Amino acid sequence: MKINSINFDISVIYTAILGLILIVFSGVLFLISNAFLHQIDDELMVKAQAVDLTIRSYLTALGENHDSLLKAVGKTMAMKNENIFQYKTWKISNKWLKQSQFFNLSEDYINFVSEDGKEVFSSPNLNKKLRYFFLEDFQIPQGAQLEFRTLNFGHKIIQMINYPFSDRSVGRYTIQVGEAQEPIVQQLHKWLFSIVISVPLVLVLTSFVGKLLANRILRPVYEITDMANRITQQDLSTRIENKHFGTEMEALVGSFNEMIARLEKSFKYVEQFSYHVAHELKTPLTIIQGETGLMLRKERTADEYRQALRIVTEESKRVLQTIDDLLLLTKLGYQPEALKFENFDFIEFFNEIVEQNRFLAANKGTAFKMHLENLVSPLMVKGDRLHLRRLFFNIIDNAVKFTPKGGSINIHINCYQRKIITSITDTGPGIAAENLKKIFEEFFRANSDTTGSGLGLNIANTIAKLHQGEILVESRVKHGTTFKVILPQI
Amino acid sequence: MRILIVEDEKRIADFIARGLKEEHYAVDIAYDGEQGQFLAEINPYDLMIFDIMLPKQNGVDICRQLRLKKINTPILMLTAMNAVKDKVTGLNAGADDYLTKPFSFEELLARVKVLLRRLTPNKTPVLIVEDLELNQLNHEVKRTGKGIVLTAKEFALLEYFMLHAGQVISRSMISEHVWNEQFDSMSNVIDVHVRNLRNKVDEGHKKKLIHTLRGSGYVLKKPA
Repeated sequence: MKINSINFDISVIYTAILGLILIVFSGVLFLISNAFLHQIDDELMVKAQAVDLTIRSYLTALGENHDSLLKAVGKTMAMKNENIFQYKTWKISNKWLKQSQFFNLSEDYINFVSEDGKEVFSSPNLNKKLRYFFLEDFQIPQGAQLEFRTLNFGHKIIQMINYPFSDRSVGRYTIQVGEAQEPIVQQLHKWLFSIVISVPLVLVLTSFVGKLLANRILRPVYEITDMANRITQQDLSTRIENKHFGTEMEALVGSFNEMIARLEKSFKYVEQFSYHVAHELKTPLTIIQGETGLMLRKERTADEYRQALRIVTEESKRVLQTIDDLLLLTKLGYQPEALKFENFDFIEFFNEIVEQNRFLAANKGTAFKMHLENLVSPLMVKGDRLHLRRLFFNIIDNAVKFTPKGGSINIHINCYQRKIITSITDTGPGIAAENLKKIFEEFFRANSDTTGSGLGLNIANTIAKLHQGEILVESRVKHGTTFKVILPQI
Repeated sequence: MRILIVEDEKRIADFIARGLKEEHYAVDIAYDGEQGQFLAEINPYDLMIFDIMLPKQNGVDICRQLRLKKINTPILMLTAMNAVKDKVTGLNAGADDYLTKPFSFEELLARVKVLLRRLTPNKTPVLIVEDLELNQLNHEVKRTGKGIVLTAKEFALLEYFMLHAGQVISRSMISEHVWNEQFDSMSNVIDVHVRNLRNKVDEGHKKKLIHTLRGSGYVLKKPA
């Protein structure tokens, strides 16, 4: 398992969370049991004070000497109602009885020990064994002081207090009051103990469980990775099977598959494109190679050679044209910044184009007419003159090519909603409806007779789009075709 | 020998046709897939040359359909694709050979001759009947070792006769295999060419090889 893997993270987090819960839980337990112990300590303090007070009361009533101290202690330990005739102590004993019942003192262990530990008075329930524990390490320090102790006695845990008792007449003693901890406090202690002991074990266990858990959660990830690895460039048609991975993983698989689909599409496009490029370049080369090969097989007439050379020249021009067009398309596609935009008058610009093309059309015997519809110069556009000229040249060139002798080409320019619409209509054979939508595709030719790279309209369309414009085409078979170039007016 | 070329690039079809005609083959051209398939189905060609990328129907599809219709004429595919996958597709569709563009005319011709030779049990380029020899490669024709000069049509006719030596050959068979689509079968052109050929081959030899079978056609064989 790698340190920086999700699997590792999950195991660690899982273990850490469980560890934290255990620590917090044992902390809470500790606080609770501590609070209980404090409460017991407070109780012991009050009880010890009560015992102290009672002994003193008895002592006052009985006279301040050693004998009366023994009596006083004895009466205190006894905790019972006295005969009304013992008038001196009757009231005290009455009060003490009530108090001791309130404190439930008869359940507690009370010990009264002299400074040197030799004189010991114990409550009746304090048996010999227990008394030994009470007195163990017992030393009343100089200037006797308050002390709390915890005794482990068999199954019982006893919390006790050493409470100093001193009197000028009788000397220094210590009152010991012990109280068995209630079962709940003991239980809390046991839990705390077992939790603290088991924490390392539990953590080791949970780290294993965490790993299992992580593996379970991550299994789809491994499976997806496996399947993804099997998808190669050669076979992008493969998809990751979307079985029951859970919503999140299914979303991931979905996105992944969509990405592969996009990749497949662009790979197909590139494949198709390079196929077309190969075809476009190989066709003229085939003609050149075939024609020259044929000519060289034997002696030919001058006319035959001339014809062959003419073909070779034309075909090599075609290769160049295709390469130029491809480079231009690449430039338009990947370096749109190659276009130099400036503001100019469209009418003036278009007049130049028409003049340049008019003689081409005249050469073929085609009439060339231009109509400006209620337009006032200047009609400003923002564009790249060079590339816009190319756009219109490609469309007009097509129109000239397809218009038969005696036909005509009509150009209308009008302006509508701040858009300049240039319509170029020929009287050529028209384009069949099924071909109309393919006309802007690369290398599409409606008619295989025509020369040219098959990229002209694609280039025109790309240039129009780079000018936030578009080219629309309408055609009727045998009647002619209209190209509408729409450019935004500024 | 009659060959069909289906190729949409007119200039490619044109130089192949001119070159093949120089080699005494009768050639028909179709510029799209539909027309190509139509011609391939109605005429008994000895060889067909198909481009793959064709308008209306591509070469591989035509090939597949012709094979389904049990037309087993050898087919040579021409294409710009040169990936192995594409070659396999073409060959699986029933093409016999494959030539990638651009190609030299000599290579095309060599392949054409190999494919045509497959039609006959004779695997060498020299056809021999008795003391008459015809070399399909260099177009030399000899009788008893003496060279005979023939025109292109006469050569094609003799080649066809020799490939089917001993078989009765009707005028329609000759018109279908030695002439192309433009041939007017009602004319007596065949008889004129056969007569000229017979003059050149049999003149001055005791054993006549070319015989006329009245009402049914011709046969080339040694006299009984």
